[in-house]
Amino acid sequence: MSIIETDKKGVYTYIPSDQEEMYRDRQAILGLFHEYTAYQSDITDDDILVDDSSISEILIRVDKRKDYFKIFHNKTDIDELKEAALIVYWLLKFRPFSVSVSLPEIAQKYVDINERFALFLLLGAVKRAVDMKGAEFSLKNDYIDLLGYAFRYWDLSKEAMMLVAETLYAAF
Amino acid sequence: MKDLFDVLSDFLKSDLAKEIYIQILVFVFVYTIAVIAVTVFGVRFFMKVEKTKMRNKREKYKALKSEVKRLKRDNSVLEQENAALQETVNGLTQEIHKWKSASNASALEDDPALAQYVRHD
Repeated sequence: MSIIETDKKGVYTYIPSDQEEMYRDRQAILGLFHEYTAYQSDITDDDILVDDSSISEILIRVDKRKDYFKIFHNKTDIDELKEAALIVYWLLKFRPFSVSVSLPEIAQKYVDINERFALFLLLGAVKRAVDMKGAEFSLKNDYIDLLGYAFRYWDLSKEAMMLVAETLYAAF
Repeated sequence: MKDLFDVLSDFLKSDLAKEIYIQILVFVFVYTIAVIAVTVFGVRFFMKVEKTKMRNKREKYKALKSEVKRLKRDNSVLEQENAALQETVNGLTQEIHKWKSASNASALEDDPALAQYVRHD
C-alpha cells in the first residue's frame, strides 16, 4: 500500500509507487495500446503521439484509488476488472493519445482514438474475465456503439464505469 | 600629202591632246573614287540596317522566351492549386458522404479492433 497514516487522527499521505513499478505499468498500457493500433491499417506507430505525463497521472490516480479501497473497504484489493474500469475512466479524462496525420479523413477518423482505445481496453478486460469463467463474450453492435457514444459524450463517473464493467461481466 | 596616220600622230603629240588625256585620267580617277565611296557607304548602311533588324528580332525572341517561361511557371502553379483544390473537394465529398450516411452507419463498425467483440446473430 502506498498510502500511510501519518498520525493517529486518520490523516493519510500518498507515497507514489517506485519508478520501476510505474515503468512496468506504463509499458503494460502502451503494450495494450499497441495491440489496439495493430488492428488499424491506416495509421502507423509514427503517426501516434503519446503524452507520457498523462499516462503517469493515470497510473498515480489508479494507484491512489486502489489504496482508497484498501482503507475504506476493509483492506480488500480492487479486482482487475475494476482496475481496468478505473484506467478507462482516467484515459477518457486525460486523453493521452493523439494521431497526427496529414490526410483529413484519417485525422477525422481518429479524433476519438482515446475513446476507441478505452472501449477496446474495457471490452478486452471483460472478455478476459468472462473467458476465465468459461463463457463466451460478445455484444450487439448497437450496444458497442452506444458505449462508444457514452464514452465520447456522457459523464460517466468512476463508480459508473466499474458498474458497467461488472454488469457486462455478470451478464455472461 | 600627209595621211590620216600622220595627222593623228601630230594631234597626239600636241598640247591639246595631252590636256584631254590628263582630263580623262582625272575624270576616271574621280569617278572610281566616287564609285568606291558610294559602294562602301552603301554596304555599311545596309549592314547597319540589317544589324538593327537582327537585334530587334533577337530582343523579341528573348522577350517571347521569358514570356513562355513565365507562362509555364504560372501553369505549374495553377496545376498545383488545381490538384490541392481537387483534393479538398474530394475530402469534402467524402465528408459529406460520411455525414449523409451517419444516420444509418455505425461510427465504430469500421474499427477492426472492436469488431472482434461484436455478436453476429
